[in-house]
Amino acid sequence: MRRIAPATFEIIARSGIRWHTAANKPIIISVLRNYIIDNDIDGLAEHYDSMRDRSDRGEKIMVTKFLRSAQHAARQHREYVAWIIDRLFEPTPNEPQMVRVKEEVFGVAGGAPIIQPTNDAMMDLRNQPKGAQCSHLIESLEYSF
Amino acid sequence: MLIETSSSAKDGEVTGVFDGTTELQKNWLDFIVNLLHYKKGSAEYGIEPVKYLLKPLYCKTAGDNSVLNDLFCHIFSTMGDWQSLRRFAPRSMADVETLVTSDFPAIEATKHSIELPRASYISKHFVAYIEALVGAAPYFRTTDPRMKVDARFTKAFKDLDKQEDQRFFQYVARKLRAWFTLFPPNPSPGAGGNDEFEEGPGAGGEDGELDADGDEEEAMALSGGE
Repeated sequence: MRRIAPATFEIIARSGIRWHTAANKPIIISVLRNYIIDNDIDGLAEHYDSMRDRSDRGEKIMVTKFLRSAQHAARQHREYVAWIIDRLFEPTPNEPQMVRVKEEVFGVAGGAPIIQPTNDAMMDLRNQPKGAQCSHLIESLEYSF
Repeated sequence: MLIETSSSAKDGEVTGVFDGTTELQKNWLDFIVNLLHYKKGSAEYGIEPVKYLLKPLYCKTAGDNSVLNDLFCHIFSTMGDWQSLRRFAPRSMADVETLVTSDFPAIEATKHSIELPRASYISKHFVAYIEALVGAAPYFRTTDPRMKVDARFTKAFKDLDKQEDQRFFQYVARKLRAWFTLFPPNPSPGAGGNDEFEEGPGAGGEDGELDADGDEEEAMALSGGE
């Protein structure tokens, strides 16, 4: 599995957000086959198609395992992006990339939060009543932990 | 709290952005979802306190929005820490050049697999993927109906696809070259040189929606040692 993981980039580049779902199986199968043959993964380059002709079981197992792993990867990608977005609202004076982004994009100097907690926009958001959907989510979170 | 993370989810905290049903929430959601297009100094929107209630935090139809701003470059530059993408994280300016100029070749159809056209490394699909993740960033649970990743991806891709391919790729290449000139690539990405992430993503737990068999080990094997 580890050796075919780099094919992930190509799968995302070709399919986008649902790269890790079964809906994308045709693309995944094509890319993985191509990747295995091009890079001669486990010496399968010469034999992949003939083995696939005889039985699709090996390919099915490989794709299932890939998809399972891909779901973890996709979750982690979102978590990384969320972490970076969260940093926009935190002081980051010691993170040069963040300082640059805040200055160039949002016009905030020194890595300060792009919207201060005392900004009326933030205060109003904090005072928003929790809607039905939100209350439901809180309840389900409480049950989860 | 604006962004749900593994740790905030564990504490039962829910994002203040909610589901975008009130004007205030919509205002905030427009801002968060379009962070990659925000441009400082716009006359039509802004996050400056003096503009609050006079102008929205962001306006989709403003003429001076960025196609992509430096936040995209920053997110892209962290790819060395992204599971299963580490192999493609640039380690030198030569790698950056390869990334911004290369294509995945077309794949011919076989008896059991479909034909795929040539695709740029940093394709519109890839950029729209990152944009959809930005829009989904406030929500931690993968089944949260407010995430709407498909809709966000479709919209992002549609907007990007309005750009002529060649011009779009040249634009992205210019932006990334400029970014990596300012912040040269890490020669060993994901090798512990990025401490800020150790307490952040990846360090947290699951969101309670494991795969069918909860095969964490498989995911680790996939991500490791690239």
